[in-house]
Amino acid sequence: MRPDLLFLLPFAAVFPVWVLAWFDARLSRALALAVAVAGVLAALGGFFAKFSPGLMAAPMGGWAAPWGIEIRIVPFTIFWTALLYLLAFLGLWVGVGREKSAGLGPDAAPAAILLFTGSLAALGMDRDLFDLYLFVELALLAGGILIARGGRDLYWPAFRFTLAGSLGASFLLLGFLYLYAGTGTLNLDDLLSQLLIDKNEDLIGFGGAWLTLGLALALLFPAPGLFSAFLARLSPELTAFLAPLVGRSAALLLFSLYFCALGAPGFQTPLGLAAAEQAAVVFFLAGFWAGSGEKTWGKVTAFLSVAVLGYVVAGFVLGSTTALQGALLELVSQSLALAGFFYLSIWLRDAVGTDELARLAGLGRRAPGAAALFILLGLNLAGLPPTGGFYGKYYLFEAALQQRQWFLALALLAAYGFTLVYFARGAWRLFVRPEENPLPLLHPKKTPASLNAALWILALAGLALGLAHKTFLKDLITPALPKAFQHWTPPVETWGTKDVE
Amino acid sequence: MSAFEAGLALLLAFMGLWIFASQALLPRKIFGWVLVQSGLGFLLLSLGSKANPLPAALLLDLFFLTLAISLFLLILARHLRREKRTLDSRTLSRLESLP
Repeated sequence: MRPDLLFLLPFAAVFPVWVLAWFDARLSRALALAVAVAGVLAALGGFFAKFSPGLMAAPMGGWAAPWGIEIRIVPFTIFWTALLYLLAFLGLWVGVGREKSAGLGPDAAPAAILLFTGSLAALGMDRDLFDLYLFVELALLAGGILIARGGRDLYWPAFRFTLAGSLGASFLLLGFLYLYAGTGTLNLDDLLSQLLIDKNEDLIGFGGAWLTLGLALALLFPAPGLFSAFLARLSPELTAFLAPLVGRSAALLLFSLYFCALGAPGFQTPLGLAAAEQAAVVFFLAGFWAGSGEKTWGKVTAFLSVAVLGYVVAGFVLGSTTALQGALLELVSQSLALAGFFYLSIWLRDAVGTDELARLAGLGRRAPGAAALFILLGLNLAGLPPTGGFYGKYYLFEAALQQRQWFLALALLAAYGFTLVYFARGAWRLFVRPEENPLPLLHPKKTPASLNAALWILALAGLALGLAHKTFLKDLITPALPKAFQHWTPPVETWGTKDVE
Repeated sequence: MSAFEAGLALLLAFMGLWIFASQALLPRKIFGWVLVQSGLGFLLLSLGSKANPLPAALLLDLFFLTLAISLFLLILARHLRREKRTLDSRTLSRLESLP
């Protein structure tokens, strides 16, 4: 199987799925579901059968890299693609595209979900800067279509999302053209080689600044301060699909750009830039504090969705092997836990009619299944063992201590402590707090089986990630790091990092 | 890339940014973004040469992508005018914040 089929599959299906929607919306949705399942199976099958030994590269367009377009696949990108397909499948299965479209002609949601999934998958595999820009724009277009299908109240949010996102993408393109003008190449690896030869620190600094500016809005999605009216109107199913993926895909793209293209060894970070990086970490982590005042599950999760990216940004700022391992592990575990948290918000609305935190007192005793899901997903997001979230945060904290970055270590510790307190408060509310006005549980059939299944899949996947973290780290994450980082020896030898050696 | 080419690209991009930021009407905002894109397109073109036709080929991609996004935005703007009776971004934001 050609490795590029992994991301070409949804693109090939977009048009048939959209055409089918004109005749039969159910068939269109069924075809999109089949493509998502095929994507998960192809990714997992490819992972276990062929790609596991290491890196695969495929030229496209008739020329070899760096002149032609190169698709490069490492086990981590296959795993990430499988995760994207899984979330697309769960989104379609749980409800995106199930309700009747409220606007803009035939229901384009299934086709848009495939376009969005394919674009995000391509962002992890493509090694050509201009292609990366095209896929960012395609993902924005798909996101805009998905939002607009919610009806007349969402036309304006969809317009803003697409236009503001496209302006951001223009800055991204400006950064790419700036780097192209300076080095004459659009290939990520070739760019790194050119920067190594030129040792042009201005090119790296300004190029990096434009790229960061271009992806800033995506990283902040769906911060309630910026997207509050938007969140109030968007269907929870769509929020559960978009919110975990937009910010984390932008972060993964930044990882590729910072470390595979601009990560020339010896680049000295200017003092002002270093301060801005640390401020960015604090800015994201402050989302934990901002979210603590919210009164509904959905809004708290929206804040958490942005706040937890602070851990990933901290990993990028630290920039060592251990830190990058922690950051990538965090990206995966966050995507699983956040999707689960958003689905839990839907479960609460279906089962008890509200997701107001104050009215959930004692719910754990009456709905033990939901309470178990809260505990499993919460352990992952808060970072408690034995979940993937714990190990991601552990590596980040370890990297901060190894590098004697006391300020970042303190910021990470404060955010971690705050999350633990918040998680404990939630558990106390669910299990211990006396019920003043107990909410009646609606009929069990009110919560669809697909939603329950999706929640369990996401919760158990987070747990499995933690239990198999050593294998994940050794076979998936470490080969995904740039070569210079794969042979780096940590100054402090601890478990996990020792195995990688 | 000559100073004239770089200057023209910069001028178009800055004009686009200024229109995008200062104008409230949605079609003007779209026009501002298209100007930014055309500035970037001009910059891309100026990086090419007879020996290197790649930027010209990429310009075609950029053109079609800008066209697709602009069309989608114009369709949304048309629906907004029909539903909300306005194309003013400030009025639309005010209407959105109403409960």
